Amino acid sequence: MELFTQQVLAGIATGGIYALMALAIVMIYQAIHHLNFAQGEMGMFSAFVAWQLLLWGAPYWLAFVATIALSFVAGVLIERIVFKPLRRAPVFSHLVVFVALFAIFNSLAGFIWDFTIKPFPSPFGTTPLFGAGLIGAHQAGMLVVIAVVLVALFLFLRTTRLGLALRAAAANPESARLVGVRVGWMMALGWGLASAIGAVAGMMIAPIVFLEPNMMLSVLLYGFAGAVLGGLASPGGAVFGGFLVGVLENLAATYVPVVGSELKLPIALLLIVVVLVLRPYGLFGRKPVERV
Amino acid sequence: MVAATDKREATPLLSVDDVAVTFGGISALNGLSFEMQRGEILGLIGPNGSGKTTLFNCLSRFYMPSSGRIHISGRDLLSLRISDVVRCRVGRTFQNVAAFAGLSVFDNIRIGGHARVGGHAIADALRLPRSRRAEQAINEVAEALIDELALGDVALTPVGALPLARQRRVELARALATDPQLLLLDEPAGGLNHEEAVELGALIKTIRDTRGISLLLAEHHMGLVMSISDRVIVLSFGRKIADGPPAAVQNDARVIEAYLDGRAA
Ligand SMILES: Nc1ncnc2c1ncn2[C@@H]1O[C@H](COP(=O)(O)OP(=O)(O)OP(=O)(O)O)[C@@H](O)[C@H]1O
Ligand SMILES: [Mg+2]
Repeated sequence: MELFTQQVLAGIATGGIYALMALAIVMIYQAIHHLNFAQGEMGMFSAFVAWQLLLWGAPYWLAFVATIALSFVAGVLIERIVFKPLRRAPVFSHLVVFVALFAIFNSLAGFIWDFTIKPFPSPFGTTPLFGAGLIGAHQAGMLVVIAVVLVALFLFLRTTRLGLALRAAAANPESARLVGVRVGWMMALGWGLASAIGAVAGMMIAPIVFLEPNMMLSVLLYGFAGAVLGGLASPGGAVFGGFLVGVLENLAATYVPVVGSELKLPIALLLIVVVLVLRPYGLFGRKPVERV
Repeated sequence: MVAATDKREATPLLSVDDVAVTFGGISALNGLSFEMQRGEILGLIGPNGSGKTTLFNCLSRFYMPSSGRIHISGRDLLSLRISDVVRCRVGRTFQNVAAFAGLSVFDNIRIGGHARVGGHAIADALRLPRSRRAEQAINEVAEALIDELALGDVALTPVGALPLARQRRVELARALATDPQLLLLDEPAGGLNHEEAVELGALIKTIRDTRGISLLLAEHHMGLVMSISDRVIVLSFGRKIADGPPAAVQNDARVIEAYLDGRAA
């Protein structure tokens, strides 16, 4: 029983990271209706920026907040410079740009900071909590950070005018324009938020997987799994999907002997395929109403 | 002073001047000109495909006319972007309801109030007192409209879950929340039964009387158009074929012919 609790808690902790990735993916999906394959690399790059700030002697939380702010601005700029001109371009153009962004961030990080694996500090320490070691201090702290991000975003979207405008622009851009919402800027805001959320995910996962340019690869796939599981149209669903993937991943690795750690990723991918076959719009997604 | 007042009164609320729209060889609007006065309910009728929605799309800047001019209170509408049309106080509902389906009725109406107070993203993010007051004002406007349009029982329901007639109400409320001086209604009676259509007619009159605004009403429901319009314009194949009081238009030989042709085709 203790092993079970331990594995569920560990699953919730990593699931929180997947939830953030899934949320970032959904924010951009709602704005441009494409999956951002570069989301993981953007988060990785943000983590490197934080690492550099720490190296220069910044206190942890200052580096943390500064990285979030820089990532937000970078996300807005990416939308304005790269995706705004592509708004009416075919799917394939978007795909090429996502792949390009992926490669650029990956090799740029390798070029600036090289490909050696670096330790990344945790602001919460590494000692196990609660004596029995049910959950590590970093995992516990990480969950608190994730909870704060999720609650803040929820309050922003639900209670502020800007959040309302963002939701309206995603729901129906034409009607939103008609009531005076600047839809283009709302898309940029969506990108900025996604980039900032990805930065938090990168900085929180880096102490666990260590810092290197390829560190987000599997995290991104789990994030996709979470987003698809929850339905790409629903931020809340994506968050739930992320946590679910984290827990399932851990339980499968612990209790199904053949799975072990090598098969964890294929299990997540299998999950995506199965969900898509059974429920094409995800667990919480609704089939869009089509008018003729 | 007197001269200034005269000038303001002389400027029509809406002036459409020789507007033409073509889609790959099809002419959807052709040399359309008319004016609208303040406080007027103007009916816009014509067979399917005669250009009513196309005109609305020009007025909300979704379509760019290939020629012609449109002015709102003397201001050149065609130089504005879509998101600025609302600042000329032009509101609209759609023939195919285009409410924010996943958002609640309350949120749908609140978003309309946005335009009224203007967005100050940074002030909002910092939760400055000015933003709080603005948000308060928006909520009050939304609550008043929910009462006025009898949407109280579904205020927190996602609009997509409502029957069509109520979705149209929500769209109307959203448009009113922007505080329009010109309201464009594209087939508001579509899908309504007779009773609901009569109720809608009374509502439209009340809206005009209490707010003093002008309404442009595109409709196929003749009973509704003829009973509430001050004046009626008839389109056929993108051209204006009649313009006058309801009774005169109804008996116009060209109008009857256009409708008979439309039915035969
Ligand atoms: N985006 C478009 N692309 C191509 N043709 C269009 C477009 N919009 C309208 N049309 C054409 O323009 C003409 C006028 O259409 P419009 O929708 O304005 O008619 P309507 O009077 O609103 O008809 P209804 O009563 O059926 O709503 C039609 O021939 C239509 O097919
Ligand atoms: Mg129409």
